[in-house]
Amino acid sequence: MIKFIDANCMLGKPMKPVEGTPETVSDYIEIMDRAGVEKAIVHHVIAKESYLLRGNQILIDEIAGNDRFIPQWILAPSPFDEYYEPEAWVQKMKKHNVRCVRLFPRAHNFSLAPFESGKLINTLAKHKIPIFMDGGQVDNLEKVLKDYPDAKFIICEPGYEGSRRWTTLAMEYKNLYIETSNFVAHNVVPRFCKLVGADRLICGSAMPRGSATGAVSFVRYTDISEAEKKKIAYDNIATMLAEVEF
Amino acid sequence: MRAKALEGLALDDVFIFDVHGHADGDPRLPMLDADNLGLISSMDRTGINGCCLSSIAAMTSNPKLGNDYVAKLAKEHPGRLYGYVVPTPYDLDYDVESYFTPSSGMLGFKIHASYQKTFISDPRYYPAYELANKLKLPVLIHSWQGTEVNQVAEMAAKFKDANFIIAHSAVLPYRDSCISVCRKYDNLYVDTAISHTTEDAIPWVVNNLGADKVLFGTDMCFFDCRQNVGKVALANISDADKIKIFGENAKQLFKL
Repeated sequence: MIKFIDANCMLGKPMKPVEGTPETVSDYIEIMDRAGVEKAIVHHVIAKESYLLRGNQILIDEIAGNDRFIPQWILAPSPFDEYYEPEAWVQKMKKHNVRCVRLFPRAHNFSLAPFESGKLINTLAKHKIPIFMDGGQVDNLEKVLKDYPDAKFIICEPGYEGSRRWTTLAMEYKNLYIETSNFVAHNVVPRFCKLVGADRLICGSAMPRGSATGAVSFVRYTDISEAEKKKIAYDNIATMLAEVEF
Repeated sequence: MRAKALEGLALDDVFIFDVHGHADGDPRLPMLDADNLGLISSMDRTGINGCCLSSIAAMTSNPKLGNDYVAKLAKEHPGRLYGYVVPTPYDLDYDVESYFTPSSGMLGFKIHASYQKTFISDPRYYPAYELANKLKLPVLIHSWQGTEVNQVAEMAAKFKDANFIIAHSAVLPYRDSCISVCRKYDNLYVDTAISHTTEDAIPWVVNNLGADKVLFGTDMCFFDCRQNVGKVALANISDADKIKIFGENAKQLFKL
């Protein structure tokens, strides 16, 4: 059976929860067991919707001692002393073995342009730390990909309606990776694998908004080779995390 | 069922009927392989036995062109592809009844009022609802908002011998209004078609409405069917409920 890392999950209770959706470690483990998911990359709702530093620490505390969860911190640039300097932030990530980050430029009200995010993103790129962002959070992704050719960007929940645009961008820019939740236009993944390569797709569910059983079934049933499925399900993201240099 | 789904094998030990399929294309997104071969290939890959299609062209531009295409697919692939007739509010002389000949494979109506820039309870749809009522046909209705759900309920109350299927709304986060109207009317059903929704969407509907009123739908080829097959097969509900949702309910409703 193919092993899966679900690369896109959020822990914690949102302000407006939907009844029955996962919030806790044990909620997630029940679903992961049922769907056949070995590990999940998780960020925390408090870091997304409230205070980055507190939410990132709560995440570490909640998943402590459980090797099925891979922590993901949410970062943002600031000229003030509210956050850490990028290099100091990376060293704190090293301490907690946090090997990937997520940015919310639209929700957290910052620009990805070099004047504001250059120092942060270039520091992450230097350490080969993959940067996750939701498709709806990024304006002018092409410029971002051009501005930071050494950074690895993983676009989450890209949306099936934009499949043509995402695929064309991925053909052009080698530093763009697509997470598969809602990248579900009919037979697009086999075409993407031919045009771009399975190396650039990463399986994720977007829980709690999305479904792990749907996400893994989409990969399992797609008409591509077993080797390609293995890359999308596990190997691509596992390799990326292993390549991080602290 | 679960073991096969975890291996990505076709679910060939359960009858699966997709009540919500589409042929043709949509300029806004790639509907790749949305023809007979593409549809049947995806059905074979996952174990879907039959799929009832409506034409996007019939909903968005030319009903006759689209309905004739779906009727052709249904005729050429009996037992695999079936069709919905899409009525139009803009040509009241358009003869929809002629599609429902014996063994045509045309099983009911599909209404997409927002595509057709009107509302579900538009009286210009009444000839179709009346025919569905007379022939006891299923009517699948695109429904994304509470107001649309309420309009379907209004039609279900008016045309009691037709069976109405509310598409999408039961598996969206704001599902409560859909479930309450389905509890009220015996001839109201829901489908599972959605591109992206929560893990518990299907168990929640089963727990709050009952599996007897839930029909398996994918929206293929508007998007892929594969994730929806897995969501049912691996859902946190009983195998008996999965069997009903996958096809047993549709067998009765569509007289398969």
